[in-house]
Amino acid sequence: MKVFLPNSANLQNITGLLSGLDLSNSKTFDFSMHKKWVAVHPVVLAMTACLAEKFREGGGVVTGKAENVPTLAYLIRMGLFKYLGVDPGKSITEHEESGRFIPLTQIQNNDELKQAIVNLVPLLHAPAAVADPIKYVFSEMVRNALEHSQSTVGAFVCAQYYSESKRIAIGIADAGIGVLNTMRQHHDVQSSRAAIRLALQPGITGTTSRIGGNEFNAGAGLFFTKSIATLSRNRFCFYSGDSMFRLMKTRKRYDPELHADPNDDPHSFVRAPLLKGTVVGIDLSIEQGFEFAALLEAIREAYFIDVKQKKNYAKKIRFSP
Amino acid sequence: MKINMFDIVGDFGEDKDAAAALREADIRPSIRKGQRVCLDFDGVTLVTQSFIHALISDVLRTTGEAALELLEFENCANVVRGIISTVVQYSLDSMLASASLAEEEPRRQKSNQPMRLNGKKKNVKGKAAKVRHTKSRRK
Repeated sequence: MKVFLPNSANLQNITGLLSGLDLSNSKTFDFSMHKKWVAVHPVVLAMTACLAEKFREGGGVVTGKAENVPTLAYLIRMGLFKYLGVDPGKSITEHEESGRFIPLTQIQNNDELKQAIVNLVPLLHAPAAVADPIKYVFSEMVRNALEHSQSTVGAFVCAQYYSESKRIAIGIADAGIGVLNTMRQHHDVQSSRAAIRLALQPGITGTTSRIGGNEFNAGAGLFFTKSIATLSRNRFCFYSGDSMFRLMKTRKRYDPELHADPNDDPHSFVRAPLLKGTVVGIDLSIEQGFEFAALLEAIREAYFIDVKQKKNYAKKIRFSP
Repeated sequence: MKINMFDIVGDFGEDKDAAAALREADIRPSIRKGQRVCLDFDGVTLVTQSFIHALISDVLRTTGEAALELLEFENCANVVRGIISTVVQYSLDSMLASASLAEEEPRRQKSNQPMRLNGKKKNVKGKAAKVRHTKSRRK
């Protein structure tokens, strides 16, 4: 197994990471990084830490070395080398992370997720308009991993706030059975690509063949998350098995459109090294004055299942006052 | 019965286990008895769709539209209100969809035709239904 951090791997150019990724040999884990510059999305850190933790769980030793790049202190502060078990060859003074980033965090159960969300709020140091979509995505994606992935190392998450672009990047990774194995329990899918396509559609979950889900799962978490990225004109990626779905940014001259079928979104599917697990990356840029409720309303309009007898129940719901 | 949601989940309702426990312990039994249930969201600023789904979706699906007469949602922030509306809509829609497919099944078996949803061919195993709703707002 080889993980090489390129000089740049964000959601718009994450395929650069895939070309340096070799997941075929599970007996060794070699970590390396670009010698001059490394600027990577939190999803890359979450995936790398998760792979390393899973590898060590099997009794392996991660080898490799850090390069003295200008961003090395950042990578150390994010906790990458702690989870790799590799000496970065440098020590740093840890500053308060408030409002800037959420370091790599391993979450293995419901209590740890709840605690992570409690810890998340002061870290965000942001108004509700900014904090709410992040808390929402965090909760939904980590719960997905904990409930469906069967990952023995749980989920890894981290996030970074970019003040210039007012963008927040979030990465979540697990080392579980992958979306294909989850979806094929109740659906007739043969490839990771088909399973990802299905998992991103509203009302379809790996826990039942019933459209709309069961009493515990609606099959909507991923659709909502992808929709939040779409409506905030940002990117989203979903990597599992040998396939990666990449949602492209909606250009400024167009209004963002929500689609139930991800094949109708501006997107690409990329062939990728076979990953045992699931990785989700998302960018959010939420402006001041933005109404999360309005965003959810738009998602609701795109969501509902269109049957012949379709009715509008909104007026029958008893809200008070 | 009035249930103070803030006391159970705090300001962010996302714990599905807590929601499912509340559903089975309080909401479903009350609705079955025809008693009103008031869910007071005062102080809850954000909920996830998964949380509201675990809280009420199965009650709506098993009881049907009549459950809306007995459920009351109090002091909901706009976000909470939107999520509740979404869950109510798709829960009752999918109940109708299931009923529609169940009605179609004997006819389908008789004629040996593939199942259909919204006029589209549907996998016989009930899988991979294509649900497409595009809100086209291109300028």
